[in-house]
Amino acid sequence: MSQQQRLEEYIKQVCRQIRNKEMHASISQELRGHLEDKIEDYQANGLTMESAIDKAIADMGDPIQVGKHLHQAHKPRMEWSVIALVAMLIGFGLLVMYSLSQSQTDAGHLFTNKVVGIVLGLALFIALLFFDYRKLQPYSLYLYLGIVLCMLLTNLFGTTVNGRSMYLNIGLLLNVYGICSVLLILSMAGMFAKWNWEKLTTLFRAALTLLVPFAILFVSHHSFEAILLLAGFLVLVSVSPAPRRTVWKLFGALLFIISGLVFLTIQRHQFHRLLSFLDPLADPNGAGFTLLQSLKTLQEAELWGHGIGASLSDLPGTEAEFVFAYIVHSFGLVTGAAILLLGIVLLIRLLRAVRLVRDRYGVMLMSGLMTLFFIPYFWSILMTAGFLPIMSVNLPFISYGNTSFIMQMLLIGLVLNVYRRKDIQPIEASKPPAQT
Amino acid sequence: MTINKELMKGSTVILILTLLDRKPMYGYEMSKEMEKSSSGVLTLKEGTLYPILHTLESDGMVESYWSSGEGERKRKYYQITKKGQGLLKEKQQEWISFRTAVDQVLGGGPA
Repeated sequence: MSQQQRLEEYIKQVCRQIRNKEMHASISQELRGHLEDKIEDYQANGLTMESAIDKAIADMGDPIQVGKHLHQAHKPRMEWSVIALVAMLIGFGLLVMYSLSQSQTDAGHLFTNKVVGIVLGLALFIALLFFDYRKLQPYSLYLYLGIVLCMLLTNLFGTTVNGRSMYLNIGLLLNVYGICSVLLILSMAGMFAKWNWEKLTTLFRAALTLLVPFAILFVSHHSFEAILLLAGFLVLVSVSPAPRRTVWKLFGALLFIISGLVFLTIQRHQFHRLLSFLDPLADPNGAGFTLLQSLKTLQEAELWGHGIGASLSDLPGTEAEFVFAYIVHSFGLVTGAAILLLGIVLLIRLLRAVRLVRDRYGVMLMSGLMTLFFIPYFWSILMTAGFLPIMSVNLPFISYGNTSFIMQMLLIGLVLNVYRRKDIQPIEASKPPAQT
Repeated sequence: MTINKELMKGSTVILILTLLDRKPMYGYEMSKEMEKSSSGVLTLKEGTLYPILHTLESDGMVESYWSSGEGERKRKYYQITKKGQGLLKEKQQEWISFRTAVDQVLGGGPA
């Protein structure tokens, strides 16, 4: 066996113990470099090539043991706390739907559809975990163009519900607006991670990338999706390597353009309705009605609630926008507080996880998607209590609606996927990080 | 004199972090540096060095980057992070109180 072959054989034996195959290349490279350095030094001290190799390999130790220890260091990471918290939310969502289906006649579908959604969502979630998120990045631009095209088509030819375009008929009714924010942020993260943020033209490209879908959402009256997209975009840009000063310039310009757009297109009654949460009593039977009902529910709530199957017929949307008010009504203030707390704990866990990710695309993907999860989560709770304008926002994982449920599973699946692979870095992509 | 394996085990992390706190280094450089700084008493067994470095990296205590060294050989450099410096400080405190206590019991330190 030649000298080189003996080194390679040793390295192969080490790698055989490391089940995470994606790490093999960089570990081999590192060990090879080490052994070659050491062999050179031994030879410089007068050893023959043969004994230098023997000694270098003996110094490293039993390849099986070394490999086993390295395997421990590179086991894919799983945030079990996040899985547990999400499982609790999903389980509780099922209970809420059961309770709602008991409280009204003809509401059995709320429960059965939720079960179907959970089965589909879980299958998607598990499939996502075992797939490398980096493989998505090359398709980002196509995904972006595809989704913007779908939005445009829906806006022009889509089925309308309550005066706003909703579905694209492609044999089945596709809820384009329900899935667009997640897919847009997913594709933007992939595009932005590749761009050179030092250049001024990048800022224009970024602004354009945001404004086209934003304008479509805005003119089709999907204002909450527009807000989500904007928030996700701002987070993506803030975690991008763009210099702070250019980021502020971009944000300033966007603020100017968007407030101009809003000012020019928003109608008086829409504006009035949006701000009615500040003073719901001004129009108790109109714009302020639902909020007053919601506030009444919260004020009259008991510590432990009215129990499973309690009905709350005064408040519309108890399975969707006002699910939080329904939770407080039937399961009590304690449970409502627990749901709020669960969200905060989940946020803290994920913020801690994202700080450990080094891959730029991974960081962008994770932070952008987290924004899309936590804004609706806290918004839907806070608006029920009158702190934020009433919009069509669902409480993630709990509200009724399988499209959004499946998108939320996709989102959490991707977030955990990034975390799972945080220790796997391609060799060529690395350069010295800034000295801290 | 060689040091007992068990004694070495407990202090490897603090030694690695101390070395990296001086400057970014690659694995082989660290094992040479260790022997030099301890006049040959302490040796970092490479078989344990790399798993520990990789674990420290995944915990965010150190970060790594590849570069071709003086020659054309590609080397993986490790650099301590803020978090790692925090851990080092903690470990130093722990070490000082441990050392003082052991010295006291052995009668070598302040009574």
